[in-house]
Amino acid sequence: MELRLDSAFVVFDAQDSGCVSYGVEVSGRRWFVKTATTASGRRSLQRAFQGELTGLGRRATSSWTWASTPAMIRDRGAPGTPRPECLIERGSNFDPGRPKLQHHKKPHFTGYDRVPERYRHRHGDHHPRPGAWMDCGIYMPVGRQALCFGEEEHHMEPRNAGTSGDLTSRLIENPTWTDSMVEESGIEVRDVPFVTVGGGIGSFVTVDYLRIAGVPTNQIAVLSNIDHPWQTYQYLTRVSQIPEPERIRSDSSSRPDNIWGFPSYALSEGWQDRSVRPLLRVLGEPIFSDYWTPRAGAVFASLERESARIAYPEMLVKGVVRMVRRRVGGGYYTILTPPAGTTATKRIAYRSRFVHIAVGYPGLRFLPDLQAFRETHGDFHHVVNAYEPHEHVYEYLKTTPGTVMVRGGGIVASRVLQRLMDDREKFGLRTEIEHVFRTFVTGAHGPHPWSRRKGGNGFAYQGFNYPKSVWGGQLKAKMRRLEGEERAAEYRRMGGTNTPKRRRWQKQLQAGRDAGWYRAYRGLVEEVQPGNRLTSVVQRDDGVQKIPSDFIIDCTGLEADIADHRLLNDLLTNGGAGRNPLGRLEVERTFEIKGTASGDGALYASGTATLGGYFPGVDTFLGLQVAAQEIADDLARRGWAPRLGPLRSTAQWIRWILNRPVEGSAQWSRS
Amino acid sequence: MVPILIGRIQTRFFLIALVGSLVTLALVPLLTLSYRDAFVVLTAVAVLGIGWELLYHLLMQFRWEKDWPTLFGLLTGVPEGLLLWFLLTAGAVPLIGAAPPGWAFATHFGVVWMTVWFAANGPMRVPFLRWRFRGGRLL
Repeated sequence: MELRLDSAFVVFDAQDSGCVSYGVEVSGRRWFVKTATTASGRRSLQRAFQGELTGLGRRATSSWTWASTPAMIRDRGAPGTPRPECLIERGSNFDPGRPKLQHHKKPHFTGYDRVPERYRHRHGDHHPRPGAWMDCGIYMPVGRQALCFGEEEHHMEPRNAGTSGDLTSRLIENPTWTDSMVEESGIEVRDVPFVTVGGGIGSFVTVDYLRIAGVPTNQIAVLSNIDHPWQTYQYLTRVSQIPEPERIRSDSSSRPDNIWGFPSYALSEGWQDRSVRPLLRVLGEPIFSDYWTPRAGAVFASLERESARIAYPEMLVKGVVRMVRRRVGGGYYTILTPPAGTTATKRIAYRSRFVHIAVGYPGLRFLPDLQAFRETHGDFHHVVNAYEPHEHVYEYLKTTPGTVMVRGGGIVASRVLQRLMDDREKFGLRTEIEHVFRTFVTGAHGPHPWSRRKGGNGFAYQGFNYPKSVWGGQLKAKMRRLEGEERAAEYRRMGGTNTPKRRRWQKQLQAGRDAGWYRAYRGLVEEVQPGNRLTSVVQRDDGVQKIPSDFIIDCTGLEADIADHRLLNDLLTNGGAGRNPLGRLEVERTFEIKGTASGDGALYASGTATLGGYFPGVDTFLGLQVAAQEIADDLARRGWAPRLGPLRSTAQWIRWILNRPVEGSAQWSRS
Repeated sequence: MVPILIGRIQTRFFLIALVGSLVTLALVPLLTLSYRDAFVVLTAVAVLGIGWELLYHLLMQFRWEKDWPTLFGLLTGVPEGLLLWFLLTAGAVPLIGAAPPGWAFATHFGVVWMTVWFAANGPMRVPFLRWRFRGGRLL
């Protein structure tokens, strides 16, 4: 079969990513064809391409995610639609003018005929792997749906259809909108008092709190491009080596499905398993045992239960949020691009008094030398980020002994090390590990006996990602009072990469050190060079060394700037938002974004975008709940939501225990 | 738990007054202990507790996390109980005649301590949603 792009019924050019996409119809079937025309477009395709090949698209659900960053590509199929097969072509002979299709139904790598010379030389023909190709095209049969590729929406309809009710230049240029301006554009307007944007765990815990306080579902809209609040989290845990039976790094009483944190996860697990072991572990932590933490699978299951209990799906509206603008007269307009064909107009404007933004991580950032290597040599296979799918590394090591260089000393590095060492034990592998720390911690460190963190063998040890008291104790109280540089200094004091000191990891690493297959040292990598194996040029204490490895896994978990997120960038440019001492969104103690007030309305944000504010632990389960409580209390002060007091709290807790749906409060039923 | 100093003291007073009193009311008929003596002991636990909490707060400063592990909250009952018993036998506790029988004191103190400890580690959060995020402050 041949897809002739010159007969495309729709062409999507001028895309932010530097790609050109086509809608092509052949024998009654519609195909989405995406091709790269620039270097950045190529990178965007390769990221997506690698995501598919390493198994992300394997989910047998109706809507599938397919990318190296969460929800980058998303099918807009109706529920129950089988996952479309995906066709990919890549290679030096790739001709975007006339692609020839090759079937790629499952994320396996068989059936490709064009293995580049460079790859053939290294691995032979029999087992091609992704990432070694410079160009690729992606083809997807999409029916009459739209496809969202990152922030870009592709409506698989001819251009002249479905474009009514779009943003006008007047709207785009004006930071504040009047009702008549929106009316002029023809965009459908929907009125809901409280809108939350994101639909991840940040939105979920906020909505959970409001529902328990008594806000009915018709007062809330969750605008999201994911189906379940835990979807992105589940994706990130899985790729960063926390499968569902494994335990995450979170306290037993940090429960995003339970605003009280009681019963704790340990109590629930003990009850389910009829065992007192989890409780004894919690009792002994952190002195006699490691911190007890819940299984990833238990967290997802509990979120699913709570989601049904509060009727979360009733409030969920699918689509991509383009911008939030202040409304003249108070409140905000939130522009949503819904899936094509589901609404009469291309965009929907949500007019609300309150908006809450919890859009999660703006994106991943790579270490500069690794980014340079990937861009220069187009090698997305041997140099990977721990937060993108990289299962192929572990699979390769099962077939051939190899060396892996791990960069970074945080929790993700620990997880990756554990996976490498577990596989070594389980399959009798001969994997060698080079572990490079930028900061090599040799022991307890800190300026004062009252401010000293444990450490050793390169790592700084800490149970959770912040000292525990940020979630309610001394550090929380202290930070709440600090401004500007003082606050930034306090963040630096308690910050720094760290990982829990788990007995199992300690044992495994010690075995590795003793046997010589695990080598850890301080060093600054100046450059990574290609070749038969990768060579890292490392500036070490005793001079420059060239260290060979087969793979490099970047575990530093650097985050992109908030301005890389389209919605946040628009808030900084047009919404009056500013940056805090750490460069993220500056929020009040109530989590209202400073400078964005509009009449009697308020714009809130929670999650990682607000790190650096008066409350430090924002990007954690409990931190999101702290934010939810502050927001709900602020909404109560403004006279909108009922304040959750001891009596209703207790009554609602009983309903939680019995798994009964939440009820509206008397205040709402009166109105 | 991640208490702040004033939160520690408020929580101790509140839980002894509420949970401690209920336990005492239920327990005294089973022990050779008068209500008056039992409540004096309870008050002494609260008042002496201010001093103890200052000490715990100081010790907590040596912990990087500035937290107070669950087990500490349970085990600190031992020195507190011993000191109180010593003061009772030495006649240093006002409003109480002779020291109560040792086993009655131990049972009363032990049960109150365990119940208060348990309440502080979960049930307290049910009516008081903001309590754990405010370092144990109720006011």
